[in-house]
Amino acid sequence: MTKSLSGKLAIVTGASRGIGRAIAEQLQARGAEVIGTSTKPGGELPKGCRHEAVRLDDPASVAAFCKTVEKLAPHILINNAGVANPQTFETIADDEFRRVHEINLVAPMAICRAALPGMKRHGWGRIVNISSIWGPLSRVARSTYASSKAALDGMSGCLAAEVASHGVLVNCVAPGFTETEMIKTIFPPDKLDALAKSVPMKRLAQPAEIAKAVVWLASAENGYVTGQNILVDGGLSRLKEV
Amino acid sequence: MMDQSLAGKLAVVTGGTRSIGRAVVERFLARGASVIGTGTKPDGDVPKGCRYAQLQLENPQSVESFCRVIAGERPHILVNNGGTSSFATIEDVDLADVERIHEMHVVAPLRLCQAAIPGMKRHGWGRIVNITAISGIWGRPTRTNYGSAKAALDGLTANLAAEVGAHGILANCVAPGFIDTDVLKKNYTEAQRKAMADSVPVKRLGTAADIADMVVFLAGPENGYATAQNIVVDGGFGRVR
Repeated sequence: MTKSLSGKLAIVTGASRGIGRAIAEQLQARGAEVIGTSTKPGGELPKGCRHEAVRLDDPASVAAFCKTVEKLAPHILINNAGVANPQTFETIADDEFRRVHEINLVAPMAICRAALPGMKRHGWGRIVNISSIWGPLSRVARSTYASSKAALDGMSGCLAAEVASHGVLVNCVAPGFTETEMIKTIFPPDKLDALAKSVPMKRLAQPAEIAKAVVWLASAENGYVTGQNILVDGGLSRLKEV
Repeated sequence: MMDQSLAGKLAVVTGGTRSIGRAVVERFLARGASVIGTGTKPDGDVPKGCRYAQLQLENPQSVESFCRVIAGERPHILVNNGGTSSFATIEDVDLADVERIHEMHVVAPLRLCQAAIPGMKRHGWGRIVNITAISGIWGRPTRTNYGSAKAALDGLTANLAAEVGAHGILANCVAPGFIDTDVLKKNYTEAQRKAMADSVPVKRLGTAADIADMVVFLAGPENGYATAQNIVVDGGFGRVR
């Protein structure tokens, strides 16, 4: 494993499990110092990973965390934490819609803003926001989630244009069906099997596979990709069978 | 210690003598792969350690004879990078040139994929990366011929990915933005190149290395689940208005 990220500080939100945990592990394996967040104080993070507790649905908690981010001046920021709560359109409560957007969109915006002064000072920064295939693609009961994730992509595209000349590259990675705790709360096992078969690769993604694409975009190997929403979905988005 | 993640793998790179293709060949070699690089001439200059093969993508006979090489060698990785561009306003697009450009960027890559896939299926592992262009996504004057060929290559790739995904074969495209190649230097003045660079959010032209690094990621074992995509490497150019 190359230590191409030694000397770099990375912040990964939602690093206690799933895709975020895999990202934190891989950033560490490449030599980066990693600060991972989770909602609980003293959350279970990969070994060697520093912990910060932040509740993304709580503006005061996010504001306090942003002060920390500004002070730490990370080179790499991965806005990974997010929530999904599938509900058909007519059953969505305003407050729930707001809560999901607070976590998936408003908090990442604030954290990006807090990280930018440091990245500009370094003359180098990489931001990767975890979006979703629900944005480019759709499905019933995804309006809240898809709206927040599509907005995250829209925000990232614009941010990329604003900070590119400072050596800061901003992209999204949109995971397809990935074997995480989150997806298991949404689909029962038999449905998950059917979903896997609907993907050209005939299987779900492993969190580590999503993480590898994220880490590539966050590394020095990425010199010219910015403003993109890169789908890592086993081909799902471009298959349309009758 | 250099990453040897491609040790034991054979890669074929069309247009391996210069610019993006050459940078891809160098990276594959550095990661331990064996590489066959092609060029249009009987003898071509490829990086040390790379085998050279002549291939004229616009010439079906040349493509057929190279397909036999591919069928015999069974590469794990195929990068369809070779080809030239052709610019003309629609009134001046010459049909013979349309055939030549589409032969080069669509038909030849399809034939090379066809030749490579049986071997990749046997390996249970394969990576195909086809080099498209931002001209296949966003339009600008004089690119109808070239842009349609590159868009077709993307369509080909998405449909191919749907067929071979279950065999562990991932097929993607990389769409370079403005890259500071010999061709660009030949076709544009320094002032024009400066204006191009200024129109890109990162305020510079791309390099062959920028593109090659993306290609190598998609072509290696680090890529486990990205397939059927056309990934734009353009310094943010295409998305901004």
